[in-house]
Amino acid sequence: MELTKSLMFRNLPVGVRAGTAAFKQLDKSLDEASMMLRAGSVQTLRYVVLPLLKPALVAALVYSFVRAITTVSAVIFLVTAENELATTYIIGRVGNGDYGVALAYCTVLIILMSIATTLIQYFVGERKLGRRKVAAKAQ
Amino acid sequence: MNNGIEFHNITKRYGTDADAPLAVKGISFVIKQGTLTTILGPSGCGKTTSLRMIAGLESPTSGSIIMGGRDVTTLGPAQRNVSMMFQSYALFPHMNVIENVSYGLKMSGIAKPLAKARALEAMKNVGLVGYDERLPSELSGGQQQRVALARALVLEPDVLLFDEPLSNLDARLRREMREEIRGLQQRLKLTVAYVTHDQSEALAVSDQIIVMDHGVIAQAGTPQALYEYPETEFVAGFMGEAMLFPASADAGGSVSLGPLRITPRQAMVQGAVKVAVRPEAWRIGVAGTGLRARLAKSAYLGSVHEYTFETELGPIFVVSSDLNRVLQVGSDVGLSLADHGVSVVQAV
Repeated sequence: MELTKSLMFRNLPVGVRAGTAAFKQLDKSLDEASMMLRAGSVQTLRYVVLPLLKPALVAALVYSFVRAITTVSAVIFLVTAENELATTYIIGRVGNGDYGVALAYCTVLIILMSIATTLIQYFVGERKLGRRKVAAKAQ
Repeated sequence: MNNGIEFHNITKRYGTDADAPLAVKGISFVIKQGTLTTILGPSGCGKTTSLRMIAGLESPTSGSIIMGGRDVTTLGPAQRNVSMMFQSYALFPHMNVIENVSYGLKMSGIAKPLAKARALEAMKNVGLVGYDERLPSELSGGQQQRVALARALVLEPDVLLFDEPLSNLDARLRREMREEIRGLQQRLKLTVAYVTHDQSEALAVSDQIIVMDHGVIAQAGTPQALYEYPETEFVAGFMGEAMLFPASADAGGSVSLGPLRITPRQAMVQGAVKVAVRPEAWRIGVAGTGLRARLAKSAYLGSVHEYTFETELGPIFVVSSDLNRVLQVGSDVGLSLADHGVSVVQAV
């Protein structure tokens, strides 16, 4: 159950994406109208924004929970099977006092994530940069 | 001492970059207390930006705004006692009508029963009784607009702002609401700033019209002054959908446009001028008189005919209310000018 709760909140950013989409669908003038009607930011949030976000919040939390439940089973399976998760392995090493080994694994993890992030930015971000350069030349 | 709204050399630049384009470039104007001023212009001219600066939703990059004699440039909307009606009405969809109208009062700290009583009073003023429990989605466009109006009026503001309020309505409702807004403004002696791109709407409701073009004020004045005596090409062409023709003024100040002679109302310096002719200012006569023209296109609009003629000056758009004489495409006529609907401006 602890695992479920932790995974639920870890997956919340994904659910928040859906929430942000719903947030953007709110009429932009609504919070301006609220300002013009003498409401402060907190009042606007309480009386206008949050009530309208209720369906999106529900969707985000439900989505996170469902994802968490399905992942829990995968984690339990993976941890007790032949292969170990790197993160649980590191925690295990730290528990034993092998800080050197733990640090080494952490460094490898960080390098791998940096490479992955750079690759994604290279392939996905590169195109945007390309267009800007063309626009600058056109000027 | 003018207690209305004053703009002093207001500039607005969006973005922090010094090279970013200016939405509004150093404009100054005065809106007298108790009058309705329309800020008129095509899309992108800076009229909505100016309105939002009056509201306090945007702050100017430089310049000062004076309202009721005090400098409000740095104050927010709540401190300025300004109310605004948005183009999309911005009614809160999760609240019913009476909750929407009393929202402003509730936020100002007024007790619920008194707020409700004042809201009911405001609803009566805009002529919408018996719709209290409905949600905005259960109202028609015109009813939604009245709710938005009641919501703005219930706060008893010094200044009321309208951002293209009639653009979502059909033609007949537009005229009705336009007259109601004007009637309300005159009855309550409100100071109103009104933004629209529809020049006939502006002419119908305003005490003063400010025409904006690309961030600057092209001309400001009464509807009659703008329509009859435009000072620039832009204003001449914008008001009344006039067509502009290049022409020349001779030493005596009379203007020749093809074979036609015009005596301008304002004295012209010798040289190049532009003649603005409104579609209803052309008189269609027999071929051989005036300007030779051949009918290229014709449209029947019920109360008028819209003709496009080919002439030596290029294509000319004419609106004719003479329904007895229907012209066939390809027929030759002679065009001459009526004595109103023609303006002459000095060419730049």
